[in-house]
Amino acid sequence: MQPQGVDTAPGRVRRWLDELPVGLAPLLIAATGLIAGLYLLVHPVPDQRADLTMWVFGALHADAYQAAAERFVADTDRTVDVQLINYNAVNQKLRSALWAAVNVPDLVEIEKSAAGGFFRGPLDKIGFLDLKPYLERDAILDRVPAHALAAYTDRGAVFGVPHDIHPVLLAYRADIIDPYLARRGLRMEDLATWDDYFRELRGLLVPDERYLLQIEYGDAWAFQIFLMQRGGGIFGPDGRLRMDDDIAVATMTWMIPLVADPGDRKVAESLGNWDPSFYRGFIEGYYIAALCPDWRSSQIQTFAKELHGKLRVVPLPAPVPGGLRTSQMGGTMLGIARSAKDPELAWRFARAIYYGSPEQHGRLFRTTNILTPDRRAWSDPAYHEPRPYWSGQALGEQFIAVADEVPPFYSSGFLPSAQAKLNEAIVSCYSRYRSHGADGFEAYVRQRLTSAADHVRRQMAREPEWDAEE
Amino acid sequence: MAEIAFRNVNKIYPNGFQAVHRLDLSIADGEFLVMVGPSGCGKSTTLRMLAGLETISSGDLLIAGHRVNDLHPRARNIAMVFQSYALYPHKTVQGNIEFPLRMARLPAAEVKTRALEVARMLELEPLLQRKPGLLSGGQRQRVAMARALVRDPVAFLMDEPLSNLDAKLRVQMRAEIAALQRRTGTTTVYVTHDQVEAMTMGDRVAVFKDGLLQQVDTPQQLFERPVNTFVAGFIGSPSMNLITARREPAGGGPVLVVAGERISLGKGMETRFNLTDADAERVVCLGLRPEDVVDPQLVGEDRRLHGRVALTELLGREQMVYLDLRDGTRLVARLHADRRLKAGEEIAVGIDPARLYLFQADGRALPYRQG
Amino acid sequence: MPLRTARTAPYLFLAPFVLSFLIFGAYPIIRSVMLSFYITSGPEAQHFVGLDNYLHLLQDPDFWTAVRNTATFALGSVLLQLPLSLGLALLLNRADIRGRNVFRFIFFSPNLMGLVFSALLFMLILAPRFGLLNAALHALFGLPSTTRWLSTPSLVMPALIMVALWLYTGFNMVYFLAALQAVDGELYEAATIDGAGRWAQFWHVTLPGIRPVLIFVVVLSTIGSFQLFELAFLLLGNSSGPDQAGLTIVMYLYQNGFLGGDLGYAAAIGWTLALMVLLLALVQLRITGTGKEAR
Repeated sequence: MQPQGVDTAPGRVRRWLDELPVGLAPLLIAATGLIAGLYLLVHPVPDQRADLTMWVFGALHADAYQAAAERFVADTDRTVDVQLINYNAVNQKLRSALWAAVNVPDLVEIEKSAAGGFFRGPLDKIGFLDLKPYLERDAILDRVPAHALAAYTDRGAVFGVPHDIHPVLLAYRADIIDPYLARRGLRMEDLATWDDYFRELRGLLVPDERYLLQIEYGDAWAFQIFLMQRGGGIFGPDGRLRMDDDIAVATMTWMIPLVADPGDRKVAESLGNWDPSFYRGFIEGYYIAALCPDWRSSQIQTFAKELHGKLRVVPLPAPVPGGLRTSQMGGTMLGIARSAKDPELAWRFARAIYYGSPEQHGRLFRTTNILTPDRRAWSDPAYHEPRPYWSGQALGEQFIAVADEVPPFYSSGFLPSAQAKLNEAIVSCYSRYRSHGADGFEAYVRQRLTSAADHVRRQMAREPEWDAEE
Repeated sequence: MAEIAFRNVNKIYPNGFQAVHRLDLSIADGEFLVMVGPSGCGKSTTLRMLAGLETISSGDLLIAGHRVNDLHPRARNIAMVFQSYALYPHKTVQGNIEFPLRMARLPAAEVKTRALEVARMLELEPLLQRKPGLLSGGQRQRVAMARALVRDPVAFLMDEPLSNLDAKLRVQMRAEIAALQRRTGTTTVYVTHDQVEAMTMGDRVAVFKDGLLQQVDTPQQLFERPVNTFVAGFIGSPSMNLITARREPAGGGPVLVVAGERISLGKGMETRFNLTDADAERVVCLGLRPEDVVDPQLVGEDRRLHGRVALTELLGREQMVYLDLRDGTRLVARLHADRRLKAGEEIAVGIDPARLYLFQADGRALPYRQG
Repeated sequence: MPLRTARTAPYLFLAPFVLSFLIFGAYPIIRSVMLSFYITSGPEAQHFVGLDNYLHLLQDPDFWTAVRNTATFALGSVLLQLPLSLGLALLLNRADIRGRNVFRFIFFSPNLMGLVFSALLFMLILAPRFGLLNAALHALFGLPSTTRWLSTPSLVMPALIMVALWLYTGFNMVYFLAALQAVDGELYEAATIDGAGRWAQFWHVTLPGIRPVLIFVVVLSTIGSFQLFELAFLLLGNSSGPDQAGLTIVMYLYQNGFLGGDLGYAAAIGWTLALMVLLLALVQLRITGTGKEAR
């Protein structure tokens, strides 16, 4: 039955509407979308993105760079978007961005232990730009200690510039140790080797209540510090794995008894490295000294306010007379993406924040205690100010004094794997020493480290010859 | 000996509601007692108190002479068949039947033989390995009975076991249950809301209303001598007609005024009541069963009621006729189907005083003549 | 509308979902299978190795450590959690419990807090010497308060199981509570009359009655346990714990794929895990006879 008035105009329209394939509503939606899309095509929203994007995982860095970004705009009329990203997230985001080739930041700060993972693959495909030409061109190489670049160099290319050096000193309870030594006519600086240290301070040891040093033996953090102090390392400059060489064996054989010896022969203990217990232990005198890279000194200042005026830093006692009195732990690099639209501009900003005025670095030192690699900045007064927290020491001077001796750290894409294996080995050696004592310990250590290293070597063997491929 | 006795038993729930009032009831060994009444009358509660599923607020419950108020259900040695059978869904028929025996820690061989025996008795053998989910309603009901039977308990309790069955099956199962009970001779307490079941199955029937026991008697007595209007109206299908009536003072024998007409009960005519003048004063209600209506030609003019036909229902040989009496009261009469009646037709029905029931203001019936 | 176009209308309405599923669901899955046959270090740096990734991981002692750890966690979790949550549900199911809803909320609420917060909380609780747990154990039982829960290899897994217990018991309890309340009360009455005591009633009425939910919870818990990552990651501070005691399969995947940079190998690990879990679930379902029920 035909609806009434079918031949009139409204009737024809109604009939046409009835014949539509999917009905009126979806068509209206589609039409709206189409019109909106066409409008945007004709009148696109202007691109709000800044000229440069930078990813940073340290909150204090972010604040400093933000200030620098504002000055940069004033100087160059180009904007920089400094984004603060969680430390754990930045690596994943970067990796995803590189894989998808979308939203890759122009500049990014990466932590040293993760950096190696980004240097795998064909040299010309690595996501970071080789900054060596820029460093040479702008004569920055002589301003920065050579060892600081080691961690970010791969196959001759420099993929990142170091933010820091992170020398390691010994932070100790001056209020406990200094008087004790003074009574015997000694000073802390006189304890030049670890043997001296433990021997002279033995009188302060109270088992279960007071230990002479905080050494964490659940992971390889402390071990690596000692290892590098002795000239060793996990990887060598050629990417070779050396975590089982003689130096490593010697370090392990020396370190484990410190924490694993029974009764009052045990001189070191730990309550964890990163949680509140670490600070608690220091405050309560459970241990009276701790290994202290420069960044750690600011953490101690922040979380152990009770120790104000009671701590001092000295160079590490050496492993042997005349040996190295410092070590290295941690690091951050700044890299520029290979896909950055304007690498020159990015480098300019990098220079502004990394190799800027001494006063800029001095300010950073005041808030973070981190020593910049840029030698020229070391003249800034901030580095020479006495610090009441540190019993009036000029903290900056202490770190500067050892800065040039800091041993180089060599990266590799297999660093996380090697560190995991090393952690395992340390725990095994600890258990072994606890149950069997010194008997046959060195042989065990050697065998254990070798098997751990071989595991990593097997993985490394699978790595294809990236640069030989076409 | 498994007599059961309720002595002044009350059940009061924590919220104050009293479900059973002052119950005094004795059940003889081997007796089939049916508890009947409308929903919420307390019959199920009484049954559950007997089973031990409900606590007794006050009063005594005795089984075989022992007070069992605080005795755990398991120790009372009674078996129960639930309305929805409560068969263990994950066990086979055999497993269901064997379950109580296994709980009693009987030796496995004995458990198996007894279970098989009962299954055979109830024709469940071919179904032994099936799960309840695959059985029909009637089969499930039999499994529930088997589970109760296998225990050889001192009493069977049945809580409306036939309610979920269709009419035809219900009739069949009624006979089977009754036969089974006669065979085993076990005391059975049976709860139902269906008075037909009550009348056909029970040795005695206990009628409940609002938690009070109205009357407990044989079906015959309940039918012939109901103690109050409730029992009178409850027992018998279709229900008895209950019509307002009053006695009119007059000489020459008792006269009732019913629906504006005068019915003479007659001196010397037998009624089931000893009707003195004083008794007659108390009468306010007349009871007449539809099937007790007689042919008006057989009685005198002073024993007829006149009314207009509102509706007729043909039942085959007979018909149910709904009459509107002179004062508008509805009377239901069961008449022979010979005479076809039309709505609106005026007819008369006859009253036989011997078939009348008389009730007073509080609902109680007048005392019955002995014999 | 005309009949022929009415037939196509359903497909048009389904199209948006199907399209987005194909693009964001099916394609990545297929792509990851393909990826697992390469060693990679970037989109333009892929080296085809066929099944070598799978072969290598099957020979890698670290992988088997991870499997062992994960299986221990799954076993411990399931064996401890289930009775606990079932027990709690049974307690809460009693009609005479007052404030049942309050208890239910209390037990369920750890789930609402989120993993990260709970992990941070437990880092404090498990801290050596000053942590709540050590202090309590010391005060109540005189145990040494220097137990290093997260730094001692043999204690890491128990610590993780403990935290998981705290987090997920309430969750499973809610499932069980719902299942318990669906069991017909009359069955318990019949069982009481039949002479079944509390334990017999539990065994013959309750357990069979909640069987589907029980199986569901077991399978779900197992699958979930095998995917353990965030808890271990957070509690052990981005590492796999002392002596790799906290290394789970997903953590192994994370280390190789996202720290080491080889997403191809990570894909191989992921697929191996998926196959393992699938197999396990099938075995569990087979054993419990699910799917064969005539119902």
